[in-house]
Amino acid sequence: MPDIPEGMAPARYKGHGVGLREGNYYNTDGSKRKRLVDGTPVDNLSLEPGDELLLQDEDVYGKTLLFDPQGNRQPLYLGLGRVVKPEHADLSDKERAELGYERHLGRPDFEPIEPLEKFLKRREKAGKKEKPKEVPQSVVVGQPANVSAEQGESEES
Amino acid sequence: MTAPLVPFRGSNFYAGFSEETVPGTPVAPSIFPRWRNGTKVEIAADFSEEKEGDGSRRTTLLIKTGSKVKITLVSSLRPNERGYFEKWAQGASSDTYTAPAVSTTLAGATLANATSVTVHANTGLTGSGTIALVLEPGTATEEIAIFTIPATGGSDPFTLAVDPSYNGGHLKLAHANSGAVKSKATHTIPDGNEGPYVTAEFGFGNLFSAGGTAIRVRSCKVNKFTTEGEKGKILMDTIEMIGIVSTVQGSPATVTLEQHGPFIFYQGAYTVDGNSTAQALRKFSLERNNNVDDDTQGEGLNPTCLIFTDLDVKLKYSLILTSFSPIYKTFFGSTTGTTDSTQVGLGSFNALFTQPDTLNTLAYNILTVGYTNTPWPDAQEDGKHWDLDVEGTSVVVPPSGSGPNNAYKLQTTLTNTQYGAY
Repeated sequence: MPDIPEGMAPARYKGHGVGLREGNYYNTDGSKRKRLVDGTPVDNLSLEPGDELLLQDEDVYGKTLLFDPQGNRQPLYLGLGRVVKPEHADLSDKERAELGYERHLGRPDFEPIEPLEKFLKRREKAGKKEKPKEVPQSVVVGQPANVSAEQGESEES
Repeated sequence: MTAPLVPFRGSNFYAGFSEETVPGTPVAPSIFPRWRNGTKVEIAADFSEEKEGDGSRRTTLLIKTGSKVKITLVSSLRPNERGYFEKWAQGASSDTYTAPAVSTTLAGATLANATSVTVHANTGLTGSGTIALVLEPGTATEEIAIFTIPATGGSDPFTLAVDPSYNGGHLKLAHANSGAVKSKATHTIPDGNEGPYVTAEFGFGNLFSAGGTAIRVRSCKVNKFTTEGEKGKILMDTIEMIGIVSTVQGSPATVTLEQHGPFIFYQGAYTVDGNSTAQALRKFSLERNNNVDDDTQGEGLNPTCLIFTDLDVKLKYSLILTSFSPIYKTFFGSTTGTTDSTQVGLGSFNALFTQPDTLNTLAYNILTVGYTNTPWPDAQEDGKHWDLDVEGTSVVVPPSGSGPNNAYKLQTTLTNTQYGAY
């Protein structure tokens, strides 16, 4: 079975039905998304409700950034899902928001196939546990440069 | 030998949008309109040069005083995605959704070239005439075809014949048993009060592994939405948004594209002042301006909120001149006026675009247009026809009228295959 590209997570489409722009897409097992046309495999660029494919993990689960509301420091990427630093665990959501916590939600037209905790555990098993870091300024497609979350809906360890 | 540069291709770009369900909480984009030249993102940072005297002439302290984001999207919006932008421009909860009259399923598989289908229910399929139905909406085998009604057979399964006006009476695609069969969904979107916040994301050279970057702009509102049509061309939408703050993104979005076609000027039927324009319309422009208040910076660098203020709706159109009545109306108060008048010339405007499938339609309606300028045409030596340029503004309270105000300045009505409220 092919490897699942790093930074990707399985997701199920629940939107109306659209096309995908030209490019490479992967099934949830990591194999290339293809369909047969007259017996020849070609890139499958259709997207129907219920289709499952790999998507950028932060588009599936969302992410948390820690901003400096004054704009003096670069934002810190805390991880996938809702992440709280231990020193802020006792604060209310409003107080955290004032500190610069910014939760980004995932795509509304996709849903995760596996819970975030399970996804993170699987990733951790594969030795991909990483630390929070500043938001990167460049993109590597298919191999996202951003770090993964250490914890999802709970506190950062 | 020096290696050649690896530049970014200028069309390696995407623009994506999603409505924020919680204001201020960004959402990964899910709607990716195809963009045109003129689309741009500007981080509008303001600077101040502070010159303090220390005896020299070299002192200048530069500080940043504020920052927000200005976005311009130029696009020919497709029927389903258009509804999102219409709602975002018209206001939160402005969409009133009417479910399709026909919602059933195929009672058996059909092959390409079939002349009929069988369905399980005939609700909405009685009466007589024809109806546009979409088979398997939202799938790779979606097909919008015209059928003859009533459905025949008397009981489940009912038979629906493909109307000869559609592809000679033959379906183009094969369809699976149990596939959905629906008629149009209707979205009625008048202007409302406050607009919803939207997250926007822009990829610059980051598709196709090109190693570029992306920025996500949270908490944007639609400031202006201009729709322009011109003879023989597709409708062009220019949407100006203002956003609160931008952040670089670590990964590019998965770009999804709506597969329906854009609206074209000649798909329109235009009614001005209650009368058909009789093919005379050459172009039009409909501009909504929410006059968003973005001067809300507080303790931080960025605005603290964005507010819809007064709504302006401006209309411009150009007609082949066959009558001077619009000029009389504008300046002399009525089509029969003969001299300057205090009366404002009033009329109305309606444009209805119907795609060939007859299911996807777009209508703009202004109940009362107050005409503000209709200049006499310039004399021209070449003897060609005159175009009459007309400008007006949507008026809610008729200046000399009585009775209730108009319910809206502009109402958009969309019929499409978006089966749920925006």
